[in-house]
Amino acid sequence: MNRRMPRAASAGHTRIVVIGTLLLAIFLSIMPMPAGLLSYRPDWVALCLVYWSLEAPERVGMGTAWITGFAMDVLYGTLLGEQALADSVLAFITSGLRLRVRMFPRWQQALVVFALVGINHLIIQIAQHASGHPGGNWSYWTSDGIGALLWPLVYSVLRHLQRRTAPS
Amino acid sequence: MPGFGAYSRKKLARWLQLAFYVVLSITLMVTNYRSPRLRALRSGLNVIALPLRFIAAFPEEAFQDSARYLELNASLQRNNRILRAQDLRLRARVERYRALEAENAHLRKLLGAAPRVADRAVAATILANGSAPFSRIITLNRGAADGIYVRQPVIDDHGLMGQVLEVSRYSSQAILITDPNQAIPVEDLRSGQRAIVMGTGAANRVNVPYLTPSADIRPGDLLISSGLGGVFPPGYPVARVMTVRNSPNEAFLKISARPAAHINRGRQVLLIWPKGVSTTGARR
Repeated sequence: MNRRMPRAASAGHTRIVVIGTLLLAIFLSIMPMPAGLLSYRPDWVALCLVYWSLEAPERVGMGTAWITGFAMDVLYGTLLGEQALADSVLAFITSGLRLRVRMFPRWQQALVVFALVGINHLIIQIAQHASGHPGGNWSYWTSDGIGALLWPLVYSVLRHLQRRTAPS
Repeated sequence: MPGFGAYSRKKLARWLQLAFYVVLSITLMVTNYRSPRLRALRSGLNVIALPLRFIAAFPEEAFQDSARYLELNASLQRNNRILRAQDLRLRARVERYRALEAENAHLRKLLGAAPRVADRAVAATILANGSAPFSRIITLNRGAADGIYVRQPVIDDHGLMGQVLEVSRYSSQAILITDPNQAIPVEDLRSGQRAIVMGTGAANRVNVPYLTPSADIRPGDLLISSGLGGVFPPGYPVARVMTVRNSPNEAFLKISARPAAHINRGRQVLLIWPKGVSTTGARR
């Protein structure tokens, strides 16, 4: 392999790409859309965090995930700390599985991503239950499923962006 | 503990980091849940978030604007005709309403009751419909600078939509009546039956729980706000009853209704300042 690993290249550029893609994910998550489609919107932020925890763990760790989640709490109007908790746990689990998951074929990765995003939503659901929110409908799993189906696409787009920043 | 190698030290550091973030999050959540102390912090953060929301709302707005721009002349003319006809009809109705209002004021005076005051309203635009799991919260472009307050009722031209949850300087967040956390005291316009409308989390369905089979409620009935909770002003349409199911195994009727307000459609809402019946009434 004569191509250098992207993360060995330039830290500053990677940082800009990480922040840019996270911002894009946040935009996609708060964009107004027809209410009927809301429950099909994949959790772009979680997908993005999973990618960066797999591919650039020295840039995106629990701290970044926590701050992103906190921003989502403010934007969604949820209890402060709810998404932050879920996202930092997501980053923790993802980076723990990192060495194995990176070796998986793409479709198998998608299964893992489904589980990860599912755990993320489970934590949010538990937190909401604890704070007296009686909600609980299964439509959330459809958005997780769509997220998993989109994973190969998300992966290649983010990989492309990450590679482009590395001067070869 | 077994030999503290570099590897296990790293592992320990990771767990400690996780514990730190978990404790931090839970502390925040509990503080946020228990006390309004974080409200100032939150409204400050919302001011920072406002440009983000504007940018995020831009593609959809541009799409709608261009759709409007491309509307065909013929359909514009047709719309215009329909609107004119509607305007005429509404004008006639307003005239009748005015006469009734005068009569009502007169009758109230005879009864010694205070007159009902019309509600002041300000229009607001929906900036975002947040899609946090299970909750139905929208962001509006009016805030404390416009005099918006927490618990202020939000309506559209068809009925009650929800109430203001949080206010920051230039924006506010409102919780819709379809949110599972919302319950509104209502009464049946036909029979006067009192009930409660609860959100389900679904976009166009609400429930009417805790009514026994002896309650006088039928499909097609309009439920209007009764004003009993003190949050919502009385007399606004809330929902129309769709189905009433009576299963002999259960103590209560299963009633589902459709919100009167067009919750999914349109981007304009009204924030109102209900005055209700002024306390200086009952003139001697």
